[in-house]
Amino acid sequence: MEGLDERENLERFGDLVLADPKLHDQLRAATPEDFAALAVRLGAERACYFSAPVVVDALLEQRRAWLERWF
Amino acid sequence: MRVYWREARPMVDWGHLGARRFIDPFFVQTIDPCVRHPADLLFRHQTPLETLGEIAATQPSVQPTGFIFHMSRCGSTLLSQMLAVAPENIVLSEAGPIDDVLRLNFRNPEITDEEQVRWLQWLVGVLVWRRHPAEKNVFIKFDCWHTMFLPLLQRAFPGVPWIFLYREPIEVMASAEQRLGGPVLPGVLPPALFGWDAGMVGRMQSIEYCARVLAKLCEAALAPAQAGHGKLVNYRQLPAAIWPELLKYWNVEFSPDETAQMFGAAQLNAKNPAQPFTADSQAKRDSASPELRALTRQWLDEVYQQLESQRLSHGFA
Repeated sequence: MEGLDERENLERFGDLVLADPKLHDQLRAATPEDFAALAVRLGAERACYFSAPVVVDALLEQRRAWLERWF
Repeated sequence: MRVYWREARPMVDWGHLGARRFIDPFFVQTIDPCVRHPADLLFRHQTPLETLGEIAATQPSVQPTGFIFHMSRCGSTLLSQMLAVAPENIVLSEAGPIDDVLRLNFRNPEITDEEQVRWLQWLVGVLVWRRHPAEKNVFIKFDCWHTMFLPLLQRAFPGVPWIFLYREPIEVMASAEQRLGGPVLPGVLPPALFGWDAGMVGRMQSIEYCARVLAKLCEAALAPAQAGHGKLVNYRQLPAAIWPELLKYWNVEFSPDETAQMFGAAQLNAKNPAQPFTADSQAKRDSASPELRALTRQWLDEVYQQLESQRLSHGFA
């Protein structure tokens, strides 16, 4: 259930990001290598707790879905 | 960037284009960078399709100027790339979201034409938001199989002048045979779109299916052309022979500098602008096997002659 909670927290964090362009820009300023760690930190600051592997898994899913659509 | 199903609800997946113009050979190449950074891949707005109308109305759009339909591998990307050079042109080249909306009723046959017309209008309205002050023309080059939806697209965008681009069939078939893919592969599109059933398609060799799909696309354009709609353009008229008539037909003008740049773009490989354009019609004809020639004669020669006859009697000079 921990994993499910973390995914839900990541989604909640995502809603906050989409509502706050400055927060989104802050995340865009990260290098791809540092992104997961930054997302974890910024999420924790907003009581959205999730780990870096959860971020990485979510990114892989999104990338796969994107590629399947276009290629 | 795309329209997709979330359970039973069509949704719109947004990306942030910023100042990026649609100058790449294909729409996907312009929007792919929108999801390159993890922050943009992971965090994207998703909205229900039914709210797209309200969103479309929040910013000014440019009205469509001209549509390009085609049978594939016949110079359509050359033409769209030429047009994309001018900063006053927004050129959508085989935009995936348009394809997504046209496919929605494959999954839900209860979706009506009226709904699709509305969604197409909203979608295009958003895709062509004026993001640069110079933008005033919109050209949409559709996927080749969207020719089957000409009546629906004419309803959605009445009065927009369209052309259908076609080419000597053996040249198209030779090109398709070298890289068989996309909508001319069995199973990609529903057989019913062409008036077929699964059994019929199952009995066709892939290359025969390709020939018959191409014939259907040509027939789909020929009928409205014979009824006085649209204009037919043969690949060999591109670009210089047809250019003045095309601009007049679409009611657009470009400066001498822009025209020079557009013709400069025509010197490049349209699908891979890092390479120069190489005329390949003879090579394609020479490469065709006897089987390919036989299939082309059987399925495509007659409709090609009809297109030529219509073009010569009612097309551009």
